[in-house]
Amino acid sequence: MPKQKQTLIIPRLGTVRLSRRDIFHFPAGLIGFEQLKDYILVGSPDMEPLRWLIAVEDPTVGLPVLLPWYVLPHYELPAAYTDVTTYVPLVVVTLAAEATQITVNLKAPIVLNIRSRQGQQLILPGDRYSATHPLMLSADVASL
Amino acid sequence: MLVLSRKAGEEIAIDGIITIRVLSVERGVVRLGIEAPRGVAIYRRELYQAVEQLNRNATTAELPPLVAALRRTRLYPLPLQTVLPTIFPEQSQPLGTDG
Repeated sequence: MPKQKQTLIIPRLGTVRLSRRDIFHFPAGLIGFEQLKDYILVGSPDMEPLRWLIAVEDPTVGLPVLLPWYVLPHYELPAAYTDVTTYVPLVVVTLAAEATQITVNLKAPIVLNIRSRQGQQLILPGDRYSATHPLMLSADVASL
Repeated sequence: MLVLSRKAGEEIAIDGIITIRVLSVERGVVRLGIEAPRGVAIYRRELYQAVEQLNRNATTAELPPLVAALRRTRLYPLPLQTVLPTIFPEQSQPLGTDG
């Protein structure tokens, strides 16, 4: 494979140039986007600490994601994924019309293997984590 | 769809590597035991569909309201330094503008 850089125009975010090393391969795709296997993580200083997981094959598909520890300091993946030098969990952020309806999906984290550059979306067993965990504390919303 | 009738205690083998056993049938509830190799994801269908819907909704998010909401949110400090391999756009557009 030539080490050419690929240019990707991402709606609303801008143009990125990426090489194969930048890509996370999801053998099973994302849930609901099983046909899209390759993703990159895009960020910018003005959206910190948010990132967007962008499908390389279809850059109109992008999911805002966060490290779960911003929301829940003791968030834990199953034992097989606890090596933080290898596995990084990201949770999908969902925005509804009302700011109070921003939720993060702690139940189905996207786990990146930053060594093998692979990724997968898990669905955690049990009821410890919610798929619609409110991002904003009601006290914060009330003080707006 | 392949349709099979099974009684409690009977099994179905799929591809020789997945076994589904009917554990009990009581009052309209079937309890199934499933054995599959590691890496085979098994979920209740409605849970999978709920995650599917959340993922799809997430793709429609507009950046400015999301960022604005985050700014108003009290986030916890990260417990440890985490490397997030991020690409930054070269020709950045003003947030949230198209074309």
